[in-house]
Amino acid sequence: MYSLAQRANNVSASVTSALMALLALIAFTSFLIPTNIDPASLKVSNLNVVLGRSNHERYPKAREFAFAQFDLVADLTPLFHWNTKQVIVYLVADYSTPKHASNSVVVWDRIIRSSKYAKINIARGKQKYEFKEITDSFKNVSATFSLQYNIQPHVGALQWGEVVRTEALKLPAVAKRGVAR
Amino acid sequence: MDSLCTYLQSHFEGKIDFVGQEQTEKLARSILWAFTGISFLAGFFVQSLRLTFIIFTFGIVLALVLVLPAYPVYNTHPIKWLPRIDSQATAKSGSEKVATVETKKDR
Repeated sequence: MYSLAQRANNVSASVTSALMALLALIAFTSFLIPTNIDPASLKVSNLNVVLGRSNHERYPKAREFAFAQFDLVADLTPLFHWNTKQVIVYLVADYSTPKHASNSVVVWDRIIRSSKYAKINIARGKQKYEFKEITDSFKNVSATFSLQYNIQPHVGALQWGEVVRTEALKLPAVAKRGVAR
Repeated sequence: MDSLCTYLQSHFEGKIDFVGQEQTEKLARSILWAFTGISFLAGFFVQSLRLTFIIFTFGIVLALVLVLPAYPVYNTHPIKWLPRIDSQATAKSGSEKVATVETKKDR
């Protein structure tokens, strides 16, 4: 500490330590702030299963694709506290088949960057992503649709949660051309 | 040019005495940790991360401004050096010793 350079070195080292402590405190508060969301409403309708070939495969195979329309009203403002950077909200279809016990497919998502956009109000929403099965067939499958979120903090651990879940909905038999369902 | 360099060097070296060093170390540390606490609490209650880091940056700058330059107040306890020992007496006795060793050899 006898010279200016020494003092600058010493103070900058102390600044680093204090900053680490501050960031640890901020990260810790993510667990303290209660994030209770008002119940949201999710209605899934117009379930449809058709045959098709994917646009995203190199050698597309003919398989069944499921489609669903949804009506969603949710308010995610309580999730935005000082340590929230953004919230990813996504609609998941969960179902089980005899071959694989647990399957989850994300059919729609949205990134919310501030509490200004945290209110979601969608009517007749279309799914964003393909809903296809690994065994290529949705025969006898009932799926529950749920709205889940992922809070990304400025500093600290990620947090996941679920907002609302529908009851099990049976996917209809695949619509074949020329055959009445 | 050389005198200018030495002037600048001594000016920016920023020497302070030992008591001043202790004072600056305590001061810098206490300022930084105090501002850690203040900035966290202020930001937490206002729920603004930006406020936290504005206050913390202000604390860092304050610590640097108060500690980096060699203020005269940090040089108020200069080191007390011991008085100079007179070197003339040691030189005389040393030459005498050399003379006696030489005479012994001659015999």
